[in-house]
Amino acid sequence: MRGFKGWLIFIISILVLLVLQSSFFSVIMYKDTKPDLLLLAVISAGLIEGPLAGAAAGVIAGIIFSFTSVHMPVFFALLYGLGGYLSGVIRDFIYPDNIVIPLLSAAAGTVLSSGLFWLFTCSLEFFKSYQPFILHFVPLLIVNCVMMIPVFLLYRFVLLKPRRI
Amino acid sequence: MSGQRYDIRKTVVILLLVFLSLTIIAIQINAAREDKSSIIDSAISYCFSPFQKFFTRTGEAVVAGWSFLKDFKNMIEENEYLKSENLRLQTRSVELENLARENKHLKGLLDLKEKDELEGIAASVIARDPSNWFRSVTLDKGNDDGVAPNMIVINDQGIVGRVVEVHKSTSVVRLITDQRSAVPSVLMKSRAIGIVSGDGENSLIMKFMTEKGKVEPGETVVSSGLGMIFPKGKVIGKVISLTGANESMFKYAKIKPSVDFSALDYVMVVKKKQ
Repeated sequence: MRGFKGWLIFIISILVLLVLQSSFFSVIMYKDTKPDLLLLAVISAGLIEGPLAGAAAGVIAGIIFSFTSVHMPVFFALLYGLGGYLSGVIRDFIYPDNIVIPLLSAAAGTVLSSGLFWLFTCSLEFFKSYQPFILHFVPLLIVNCVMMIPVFLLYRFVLLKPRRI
Repeated sequence: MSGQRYDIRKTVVILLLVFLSLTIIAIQINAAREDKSSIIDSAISYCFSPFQKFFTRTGEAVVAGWSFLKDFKNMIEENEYLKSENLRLQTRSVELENLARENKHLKGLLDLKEKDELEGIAASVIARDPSNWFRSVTLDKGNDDGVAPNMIVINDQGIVGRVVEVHKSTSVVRLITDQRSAVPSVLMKSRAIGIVSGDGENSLIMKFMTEKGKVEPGETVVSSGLGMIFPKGKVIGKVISLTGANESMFKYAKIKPSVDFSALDYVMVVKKKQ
């Protein structure tokens, strides 16, 4: 994200994705599972902009997410921040020009974020069983990988556009 | 020199952003601790609600169109079945009306006051929780319409959930299928009591069941009215299966909710009695 404009575009896009996730995609669900668009946006930002920008994007997305879901801002900021940072680290090794890299990152991000979320919430006895995690995991992996393609292409177009000018 | 000035400006901006993030986090934690929504929640909810409403309706139209195309083959056959079913239900409805009248009359004779007349606010679902792990919905009615925390939400099929957050024009309802919900309940036939909560999916579990009679699958579960939050006698669902060893103190029952949570659109928020 280059400059104030880049960050503003990113924040607006996060808000739009959040609205879509809580409305449109909550109605059109695959196996009762909706895609985690914010995680995909953060991974895309990390892959395009690098670890620091990815981490910052993750923290912002996590805080915004906690306003519309359960109020755990620190947890979600750290979770998404970690997702953004790790995808940025991947970029430092392999430039994600090939669409397979974002897809693999989305799959890895889904495994990591879902796993950490359930470990954290179950250890605090916030949730009592792992059953929803097991049942949702495979459909979530599929929908996240499918949705990663348009999200990543959109972010690559939006975020890289100012640099070309 | 200009590079150094740029670095200072950049550091100041980063520090300001960190300070802003920490302030927002502090506001959020404070609001969560006091179990009420923060001013930022309300503002975001207020701005989001028209868009959420629009996209939810769009999604519903897409799903309806898809189901229409999918079910077209079975439609004629189903139509015939529904016609006969309608006739049967009409007859049954007349019978039930007579029974209700008779019941009311008998209650009057026994000087029992009707306690179940609920006053409510009609609302529609405009959004669902963005995560896959929590079960809550956003309604298009809020503080301005008289919605208050802990009000119960029902629909024609049974209990939907409880209001946990109220904003100016919207409110958040925690569904009974959420793992954090707890509804004191009783089985209609065996009179076994327990706590019904969500299993995180679209079904329910009745926990800490003290069995009085023999519980059988298919039994109807209703709210017991204990705890003074959920009204007495509202339908929750039907028992699918029972778990728990014979020697264990408590048994567990898996319950299929009477409400179709995947197609939840219109609900009623029950006003508390004064």
